[in-house]
Amino acid sequence: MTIANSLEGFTILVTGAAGGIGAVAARTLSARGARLLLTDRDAGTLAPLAAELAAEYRVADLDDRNQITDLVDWADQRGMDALVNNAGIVSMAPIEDFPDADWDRVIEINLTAVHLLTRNFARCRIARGGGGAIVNIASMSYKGMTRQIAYVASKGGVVSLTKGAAMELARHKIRVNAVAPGMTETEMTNPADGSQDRLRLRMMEQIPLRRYGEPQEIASVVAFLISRDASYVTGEVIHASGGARL
Amino acid sequence: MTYQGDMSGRPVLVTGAARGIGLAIAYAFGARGARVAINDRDPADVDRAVAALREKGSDAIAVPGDISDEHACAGIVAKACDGEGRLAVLVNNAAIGRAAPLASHKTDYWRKVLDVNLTGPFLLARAAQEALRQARGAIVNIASAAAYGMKDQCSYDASKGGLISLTRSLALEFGPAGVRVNSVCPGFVDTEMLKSDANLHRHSQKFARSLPLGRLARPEEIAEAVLWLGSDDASYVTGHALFVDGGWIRP
Repeated sequence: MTIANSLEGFTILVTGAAGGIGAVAARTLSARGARLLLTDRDAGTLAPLAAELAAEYRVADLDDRNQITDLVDWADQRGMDALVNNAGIVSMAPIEDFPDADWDRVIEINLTAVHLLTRNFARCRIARGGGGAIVNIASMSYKGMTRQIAYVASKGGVVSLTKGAAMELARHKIRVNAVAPGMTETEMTNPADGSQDRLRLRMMEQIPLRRYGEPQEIASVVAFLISRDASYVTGEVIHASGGARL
Repeated sequence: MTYQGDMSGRPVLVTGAARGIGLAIAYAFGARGARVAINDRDPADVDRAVAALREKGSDAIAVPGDISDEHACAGIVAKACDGEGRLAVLVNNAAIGRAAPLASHKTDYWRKVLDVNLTGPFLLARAAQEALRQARGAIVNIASAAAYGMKDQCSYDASKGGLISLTRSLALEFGPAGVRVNSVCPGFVDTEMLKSDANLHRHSQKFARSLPLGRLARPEEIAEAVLWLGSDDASYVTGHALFVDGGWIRP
């Protein structure tokens, strides 16, 4: 039987790999045959994950541009041909009180770092004759969400960056796509203390599938977009939201 | 381990599957173990496609019929279901087109195109709703990048735009039952039909060079996207229009 979405032969750099969606994505990509290069801010959860997946890892701060350059060079030396821009942060406050420092930091990590990683990835791949795939983790909040204006704007930026980079890098045989998750089951959206339970019930009423997505269900979108099965798909933003905010 | 895109034993119905993109979709599901019900208008064409799938070791059955005919749809769905009356995936692929500027776009063209391309999927979705619920299945509608407008194709463009809207509407209605509804929007695809018209083939190849990916799609590249949306790998994706168009539209 032919296996769909096989990732045999790919070497994938995953940012934010220690996080909720990042770690599940790393496990999924690994299970489908990819070799993984993992990065996150601290080695705490990264090192055991790397050991589990027989992956290499490198600690990096994505708000430090020199570290981004070193990270991508490091990955290039290890044969990187795909990139998953997953790292992201959020800061909650109403617009009228939104702190400048929070705006700067969210835009730096969620948007500027995605550009720099994409740019350096493209440089490396073009130098090697082209070819490759980038998947950006956007968010359905790019269509608007309250009390997180920097996050919303950064994800809108990621969506546009995806389309622009897709156009520009296609001639180097680099495809660029994004997945926009809706509400996803993480420790943040479903804490053990049940403090989110009422909100969750209210949110689920707005989701046609009537449930939050599992991180696995985001990871399987990433796997498809990297795989050769998506060879004619570029500049696309797949909504993995259970039908919410269509 | 479960294979990605594993469809073992699951009943799948593909319309317009005698050739081109539809046949590629039937092959893709067949290769992943599905029991593929092949629909097209001409029973002889359908039999040929069924034989072709079986030759590759896939499980296929013939369900010929006109999908713009309400009564025919009930029979097509009934035959495509498994013994428990379930249907795992409905792929609405059958479509026709008539190129003509508005002034010479006959009412008859318009009605026929809408009948097959939009009313057909509506009729089949309605006929299959219970079977899809039983299977917690999925619908994949083959729309088109032409939904965003292609000159001299007003009926085709409108039918495909309508199909994207029908997809969204059905996603809302079916969602609570765990049934997903999505569309795939191909750009220009290098099919036998395209090759048979030398002029059109030359024109589309020239156009394809202006696309970001710079080439036409292979039918298999559309089929893999359809398979993915029909599989459990897309379990949180519904109401989506997936453009498989080489970066053309970027909606």
